[in-house]
Amino acid sequence: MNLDDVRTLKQTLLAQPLEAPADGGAALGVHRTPDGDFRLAVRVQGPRVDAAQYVQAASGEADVREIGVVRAFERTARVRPLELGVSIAEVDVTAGTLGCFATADGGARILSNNHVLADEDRASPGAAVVQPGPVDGGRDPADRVGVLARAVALQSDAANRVDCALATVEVDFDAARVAGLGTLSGALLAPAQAGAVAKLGRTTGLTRGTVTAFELDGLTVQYDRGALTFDDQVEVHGDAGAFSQGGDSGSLIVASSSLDAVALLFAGNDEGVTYGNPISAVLDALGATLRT
Amino acid sequence: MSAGLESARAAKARLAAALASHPRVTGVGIARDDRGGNVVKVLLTAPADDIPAEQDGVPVVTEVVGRIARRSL
Repeated sequence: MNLDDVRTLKQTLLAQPLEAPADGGAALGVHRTPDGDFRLAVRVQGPRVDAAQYVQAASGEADVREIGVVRAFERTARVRPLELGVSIAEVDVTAGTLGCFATADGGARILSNNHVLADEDRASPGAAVVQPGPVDGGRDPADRVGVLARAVALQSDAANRVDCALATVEVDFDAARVAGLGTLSGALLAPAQAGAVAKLGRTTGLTRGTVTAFELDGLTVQYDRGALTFDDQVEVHGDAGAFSQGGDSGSLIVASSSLDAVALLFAGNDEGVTYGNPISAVLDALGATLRT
Repeated sequence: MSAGLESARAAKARLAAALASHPRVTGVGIARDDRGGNVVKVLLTAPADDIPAEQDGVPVVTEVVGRIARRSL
């Protein structure tokens, strides 16, 4: 079919639905074939859709695929099993992002920033961690997913390399899935080797960017307790707008194509320029390994 | 003109030491140029006209990033 014919057929079918089950019908669009021809795209979402009638309406020139239920990426909702990139925080913190899962001290742990899971060292081990974070409605004990295990203390009088902490995990979790992107490879990639990167975070969701500096020393970052200095940091600029905003702290930054882990997001400016700790430094400081 | 990674690291260390008390410098690192070479990158809180264009033969680039803060809410 030519493009205009597909568009016309699509409008006709949408105006007179063949069937509209309450549990989801079919989405219609245009499919471009590899050789440049056009087909009616039928994306079946409900279990009782009869795709054959669309194929018949298109005289056989239809591209039919089952896509099932599609959910908006809502990273501030309560998510079980737990997964990467969702809102989380210690009960006295507003909200940050669950970065990834790790193995440490003989068990599974949630990994994010100190200022997300340990409230800049104000929380004590055993403090409740909730998902979603309190600002997104998370409450203890109803939404408790674990407790603060330990944090790498932030230093006010010396350069920091990491802003990270571990929490225990008391609920089911999926350590590998990065919604909208794929599955973590399990490997680590040095920031100097990384180019195109992506992250999934509580506030800005899935964003893509480019590593624009690495081995950044003397980086001054504002905290509640004052300005802290960080060495050996990674800088990322977003490819289309901000790579992160407030609430994305703790997100795992991964290589876009390989999904190797690159850095733990912790800071940024008002324009969306973003900074992270190399993930190898984070795991070393915590004596942890990445879990997938 | 750009440099290998080890040259850039040495130049970065020397420039960072020279700029340690500069009131507008908020970080010094390494960046890739568009040919895959390495340059020294200086982050600034506000524009500054006294950052050298090169250090030990390694190009120096600047970016005004302003105030950087932790990314929780």
